[in-house]
Amino acid sequence: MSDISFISSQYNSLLKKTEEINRAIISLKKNMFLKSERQNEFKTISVSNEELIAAITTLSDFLNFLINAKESHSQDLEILPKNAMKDVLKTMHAMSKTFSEDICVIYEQLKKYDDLSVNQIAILDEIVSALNNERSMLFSELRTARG
Amino acid sequence: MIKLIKGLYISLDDRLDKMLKHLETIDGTSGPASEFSANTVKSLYSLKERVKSIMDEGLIGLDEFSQNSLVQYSLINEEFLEIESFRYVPLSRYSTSAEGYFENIIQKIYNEIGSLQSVPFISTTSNSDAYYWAYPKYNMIVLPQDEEKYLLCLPDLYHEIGHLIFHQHGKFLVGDCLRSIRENYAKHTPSIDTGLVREVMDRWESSWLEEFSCDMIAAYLVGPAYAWEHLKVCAIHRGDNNSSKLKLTINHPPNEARMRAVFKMLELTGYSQELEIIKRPWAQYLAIAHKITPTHYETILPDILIELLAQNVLKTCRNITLISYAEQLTNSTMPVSKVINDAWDYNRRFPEGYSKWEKIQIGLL
Repeated sequence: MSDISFISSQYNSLLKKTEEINRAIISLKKNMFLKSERQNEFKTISVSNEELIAAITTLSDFLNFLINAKESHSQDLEILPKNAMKDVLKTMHAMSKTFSEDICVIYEQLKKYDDLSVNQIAILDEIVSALNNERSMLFSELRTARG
Repeated sequence: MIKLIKGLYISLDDRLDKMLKHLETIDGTSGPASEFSANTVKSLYSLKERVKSIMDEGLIGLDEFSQNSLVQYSLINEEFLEIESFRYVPLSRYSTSAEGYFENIIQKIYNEIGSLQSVPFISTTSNSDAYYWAYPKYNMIVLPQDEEKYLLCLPDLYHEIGHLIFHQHGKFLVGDCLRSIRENYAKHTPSIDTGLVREVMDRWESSWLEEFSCDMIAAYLVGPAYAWEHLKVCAIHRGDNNSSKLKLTINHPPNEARMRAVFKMLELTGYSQELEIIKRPWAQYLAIAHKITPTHYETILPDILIELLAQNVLKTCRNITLISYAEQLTNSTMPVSKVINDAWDYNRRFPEGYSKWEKIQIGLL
């Protein structure tokens, strides 16, 4: 009778997505640092080809979803709850006026397996940060709804 | 920053150890509770593994990964808090007189309704406000404290069982209804604002279809008692959508429409006589509490959509071999559902003597 079922399904979908995106960004970052001039500073880390391909697929699917989000009216919990998606996009657009263009460029580069720049990785970090905040708020709601 | 993050992970690991240690000292649980406890311990060990793997990976020592390490930490910490709130606290408060009693009841109900799902863990750590709720992720149902002393709210236990069934069979229960709903609204545009249609569609998709389905499953499993219980809930939350604008901030569908869903399922399962009796006080209630109808209400929640869903839910209940209330009565002399229906019947006929009667019936369960 309480709203817990509803909040819980939204929360769990966001939890899964935040983890997936964060993991994928870590893999891209590892790759970026291992290929950089500073590679000696990152001797303790490694990234496999499979890990990298999986990360690129995860991120390009997600960016494609964000790019088309405006046209989509359907709720797809497998990707992102609609309300959360709206809030994440709102945050991102508030942070950068060129957000829509930026993610299109990143998406195209990922599709071609081109390396991303430090700034582009920073944009992805901002997206995961927005997802993280959104999820944390939903978690507070979940705990409060439980009474 | 690096040191702070490292400290957070170490502190979380310590909390995990202490929780595990406390869980080892809790005994006296059996059946679903012991399985729930074992799964809780397993989840905590899995979190410990993740903490260890993140610390071993070495990223928390690198500034360039601080942001990602913090995100990882907040994810794991939330999972820890979720376990604490939804598993650890209920297990710590387990009592044989409350949770133990409900373990027997829920086991009996699951046998009577022919559910093939594993029996959920029942906790009585809710309150009258949050009331009954289900958490499918952990296969648990939570009831208000002291609920073992009462019978009248138990129809809602069947609604919560409905959420666990929906979690597994939602696609079949809903079937093609969403498409029909969309087509139905398309017929009425542009008379209804497209923004409103979009908002209402969001509600159908995110919660209404599930809530209606759970109401229908409950009516299928526990019969007329569910309608009486819903009438009681409506009376408590009087005024739900008694305004010119439909309130879409709430996640449950309007109570009036929910009752139509319950009535429809009772009608489809052959309770016409009982329906005649319930519809009288329901009409009186509506006359008092629902003097105003929100604009476009009939178009947004028409009978035709509720009937369509009810037909689909009924078909699915039969396909997954759930045993209806009527069938339960032929299979057993006194299923839990019959005791609950008797309780509502006795309460309406002899309200003064009800409490004494209820206590005896609970003793017999």
